[in-house]
Amino acid sequence: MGNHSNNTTLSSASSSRTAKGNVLYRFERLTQKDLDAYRVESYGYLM
Amino acid sequence: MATLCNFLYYPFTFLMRSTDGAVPCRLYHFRSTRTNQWYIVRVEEYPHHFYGIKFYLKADALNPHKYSRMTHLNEARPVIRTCIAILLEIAENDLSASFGFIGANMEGEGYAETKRFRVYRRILTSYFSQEKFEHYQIVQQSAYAMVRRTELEKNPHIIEQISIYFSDNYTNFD
Repeated sequence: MGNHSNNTTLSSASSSRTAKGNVLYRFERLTQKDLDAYRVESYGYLM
Repeated sequence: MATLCNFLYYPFTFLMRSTDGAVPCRLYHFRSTRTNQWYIVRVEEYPHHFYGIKFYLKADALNPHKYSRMTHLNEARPVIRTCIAILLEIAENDLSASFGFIGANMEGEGYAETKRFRVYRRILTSYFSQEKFEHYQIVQQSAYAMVRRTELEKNPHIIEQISIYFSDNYTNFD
């Protein structure tokens, strides 16, 4: 489930750092394919 | 249990706003009618109207591993739904609100894509539409973010700014 996304996220993990010197973790956008894979349609949107 | 369009959750109460720690936060509590256990929900207020949501069993309040400990009470779903009901209340009052969760690792589990993270991701992608929110994740840290599209339109770099803030302030949930 969602391996494509995980691979993208892990491979793009940057070794760059923030101005404060911490490792910069970047939030990666979920693609439509990811959302379709993770979502349980029967729940229905609340918002 | 309270209900919202067939969405069942425990009634919750706002307790207080705290500015004691590094990050201002709002505290809520609720009681499970199934187990009679009380839970504390901590909503941390970050820049850019970004709210980080955490919860733990009140009985574990002094436990340094309160976010990662398994309760074995088998009531994760109604508890998570109650946290979502709190999130919905915040979203109603702050139209710029975006949200983040971290799936704390259990004992013996790594930080990447934890079991809790996978549960939160399934729930959040199911209840919050792409029309209103753009969904993001950091798999290595089991972090999940939903950013309001209206805020992205105003500030296309908001997720980079949230990423930097997260990287500078996140330690872990132990």
